[in-house]
Amino acid sequence: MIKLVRNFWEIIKSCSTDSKYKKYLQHRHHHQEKPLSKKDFFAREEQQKWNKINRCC
Amino acid sequence: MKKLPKFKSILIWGLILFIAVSSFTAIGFFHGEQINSIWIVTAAICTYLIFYRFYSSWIAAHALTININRKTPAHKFCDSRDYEPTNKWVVFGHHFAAIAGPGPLIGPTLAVQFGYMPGLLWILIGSVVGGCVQDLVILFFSIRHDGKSLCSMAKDELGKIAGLAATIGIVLIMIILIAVLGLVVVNAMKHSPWATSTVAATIPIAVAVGIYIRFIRPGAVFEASIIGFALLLLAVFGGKWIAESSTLKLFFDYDGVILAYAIIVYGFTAAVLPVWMLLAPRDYLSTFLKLGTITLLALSIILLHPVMKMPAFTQFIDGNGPIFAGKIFPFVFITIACGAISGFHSLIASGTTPKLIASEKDIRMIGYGAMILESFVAIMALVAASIMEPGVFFAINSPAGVVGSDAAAVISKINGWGFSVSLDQMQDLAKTVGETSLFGRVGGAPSLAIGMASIFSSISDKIFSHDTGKNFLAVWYHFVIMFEAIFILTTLDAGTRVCRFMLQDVLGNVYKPMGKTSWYPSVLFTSLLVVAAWGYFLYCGVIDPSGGVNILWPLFGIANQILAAIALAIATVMIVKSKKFKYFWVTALPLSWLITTTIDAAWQKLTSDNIRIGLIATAKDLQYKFDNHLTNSSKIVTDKLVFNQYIVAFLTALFAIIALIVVVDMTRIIIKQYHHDKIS
Repeated sequence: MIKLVRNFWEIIKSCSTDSKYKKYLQHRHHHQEKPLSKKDFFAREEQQKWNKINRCC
Repeated sequence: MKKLPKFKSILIWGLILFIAVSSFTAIGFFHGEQINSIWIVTAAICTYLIFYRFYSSWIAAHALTININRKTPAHKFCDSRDYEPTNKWVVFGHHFAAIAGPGPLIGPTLAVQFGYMPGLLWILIGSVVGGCVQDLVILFFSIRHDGKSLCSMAKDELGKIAGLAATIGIVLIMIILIAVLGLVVVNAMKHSPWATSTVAATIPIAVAVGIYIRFIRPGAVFEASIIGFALLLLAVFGGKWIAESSTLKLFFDYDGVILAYAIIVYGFTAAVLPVWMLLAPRDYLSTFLKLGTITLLALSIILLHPVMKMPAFTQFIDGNGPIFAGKIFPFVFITIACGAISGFHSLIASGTTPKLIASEKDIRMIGYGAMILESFVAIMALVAASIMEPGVFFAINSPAGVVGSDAAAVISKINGWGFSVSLDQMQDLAKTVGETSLFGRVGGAPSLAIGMASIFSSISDKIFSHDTGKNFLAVWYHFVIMFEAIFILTTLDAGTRVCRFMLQDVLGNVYKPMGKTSWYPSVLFTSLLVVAAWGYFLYCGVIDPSGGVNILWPLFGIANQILAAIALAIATVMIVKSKKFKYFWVTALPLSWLITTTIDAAWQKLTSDNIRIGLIATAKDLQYKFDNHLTNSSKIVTDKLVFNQYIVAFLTALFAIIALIVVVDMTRIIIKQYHHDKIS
């Protein structure tokens, strides 16, 4: 039950890009590249998401 | 996860099997009477559990040989952009949100014309043997091929012609899909100030949410969606106030043609604006609304277990149905696509999802499991459509071209079919849900909204008094209309953009700047072309006296199933090429069924003399009636309708040819591979 609730919360959290931005910063840190700001990162994510077939009938 | 001791496992699965058999027996035994929906829900859940546990794991172990130690593309190419290993529940959520569109709600509602049984059996069998298998194998093979798309796999495995066929098929399916979904929304809003004002309000609400996420709290999707949801609820209540105001309602009371133009203008605007402004926020709102509403519907049906009032079979299995013409075979199989098997899912399963999967052991849950959930949504929609009085269902969904436009004549006709309904009943129902009339509201959305609203308001009855429940019926009805519209319009926005990208890609080969997705002249020009294409079909659907759904939905079903056939053909070739010839039937079986139903449906649509089925026969009949002054339609309208029949006939023939090309290519490759394996 606790595992189910935890997994459900993971899905909800993933809807906020906070965790995704943190992972991006970690990845960028390893590659020593200048990171995007949170606003620019989120804008880029949205653009990428809608450049392909992403919603079904 | 700890495995159960063997005897406990046998006991549990034996019990589930027993419940499944009992439920199906009850459904079969009592099919001549009204049965409780709990039997349907129980039979469905047990079927899904059994097939997920046994069939999908057998496929994964034997036909696919899933390897949990093998690196997935998410690990191999991890770049925190496209490729990223992600928690399986998160991937499941995103994948389900991507595949679950309005299709599993509309198709089953329309198919209830035949009674609930044909749709029920097709949704269950079609999904566990066809749709879930398609999603699972395509996801697996895309992962094994480093996240390749369906078109790339079609080109690599079946050849350039099949790859081109898949690409053409995708664009055409998208155009037809957008047109038919637009038609559903238009028919839901027609002469309904409440519905129109609520749907119109979703546009500025989406823009406000977009601004909030972009500038005020970047990335705060969840909180923005909560705010957006609250505003949507206000819009639903606001719509009631507008509908009751004698001056304000005039601004939102339009016929189908005006609404079609409005949808066309909206579609163009949404396609050319930046994604953050309209498309993305609308998608966040529709995703949360979708998940919440579907969960509420499922819980409500399980809690209330309403009685199925629609019979198991109606007389319309003979092909004379008012909603769409054609016998149960093959038309029930192409009317219900999403929910049973949908080719579009293979695009999602070979799109973003394979790039996020962290381990091959997650494939079964995401590929097979997410489709099971969508199939369950279709079952819920079937139940919601079947719990209303059949006479009411047919009065709402039958087009004027079939039953007439005079209310008394419609009632008389439907009573003549053996379904009891009265004028007072329909007028009372319309008044209760805040509409002026519910006659001829084709497309499935209003009748589904009534079914769902009556379920939700029954929950209100349980919590509050009966009067409160009845007062909530109108609010629930318009909430459901808004929910259907918001998620149809998201598909419309997203589909127009994708078609625009594909067109820009093609035109970029002729004139390079046209291929730049950021070059605004190209954006405007290609968006205009795409919107003109689906706008044309939408307009013809609106002016068609047979309701438009009669032509467009079967065409969409045929096209979607043919795309599924292409996906299954690719999968069959890949299974054979991986030296697992003895398992090729796993995909070849549903493939052969799809080819049979789609080619038969296409043949009937092209050659039938029945003017409600045959497209060419209908075109000739329309022309004959006009030439002999047997119709009130003007020359312009007649010419448009006749031309539309021929266009749809051409597209139907094209889809059938594409299907045959793919099957021939697949057969050739399999035979070649078989001989090669025999020699080696």
